[in-house]
Amino acid sequence: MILDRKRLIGNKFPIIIFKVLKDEVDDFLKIVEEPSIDGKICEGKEIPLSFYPIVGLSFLKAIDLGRELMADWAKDTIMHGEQGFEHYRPLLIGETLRIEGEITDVYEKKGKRPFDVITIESIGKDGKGTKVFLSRSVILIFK
Amino acid sequence: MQKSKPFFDEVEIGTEIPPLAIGPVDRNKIIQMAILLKDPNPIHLDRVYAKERNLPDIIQQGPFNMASLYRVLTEWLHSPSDINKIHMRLANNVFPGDRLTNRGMVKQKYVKDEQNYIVCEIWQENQNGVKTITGEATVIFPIKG
Repeated sequence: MILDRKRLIGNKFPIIIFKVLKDEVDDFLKIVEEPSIDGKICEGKEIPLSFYPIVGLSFLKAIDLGRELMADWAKDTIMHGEQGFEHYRPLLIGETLRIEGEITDVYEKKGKRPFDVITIESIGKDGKGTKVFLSRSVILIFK
Repeated sequence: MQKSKPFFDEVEIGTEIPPLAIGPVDRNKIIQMAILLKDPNPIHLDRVYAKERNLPDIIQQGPFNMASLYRVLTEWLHSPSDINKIHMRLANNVFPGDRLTNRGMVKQKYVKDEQNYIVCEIWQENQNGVKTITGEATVIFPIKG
């Protein structure tokens, strides 16, 4: 059966509530061996820039992959292709964001092994509805 | 190459951002990252799975690859919140044992709405000179004084 993921264009993901946890940021920095600025990880401090892709890709943990991307972790080869951000204001440790994601483009790339290129745009908003960032993630699903 | 944090008028087209070399990439850290992210993708965990897909080994997660390139900017900018826009393309896979160098170069400067913008080409390359990440960042720099 040939999968037609183009029909996913325009689909909106369920809204994600994402809390920036101090311990998660701290553990992340330890794994990537990045020193925290001023040696502090505390509530109210700006997240390190390197943590933004974690926030931008949070939809992958939250969605039903089969329903939203017509994919299965065990059967499909899925890779992160691209990541971009437009920043409106710094995101702070301890903040809770509402992230609204949408599939904005799908196309097939031919090659040794064809794959679908899926673009997901997500807007992160704070509790007052103010935009914090626009994230653009590209996911590759091999056929 | 400038090592201290420059100001807008001290940065020219062609100015190199101080590079950052890291590695060798540690497979145990890749697994730790997968646990932290609750990332079930077997391509980061299972060497047999990766080899069945014609990869020589598991691959490091995209955000993990990007982290060191982001760090180059963090250490160069006066404040992390001076980042305006960024885009990175994961051009080639990163494997355990790889040594990575993260670099950047100024390619454009402009002033808009009283903000001083610098556009940089940014990239990461492995020990063989193969680019693992390509991208661009737009950042804001203060003027001295």
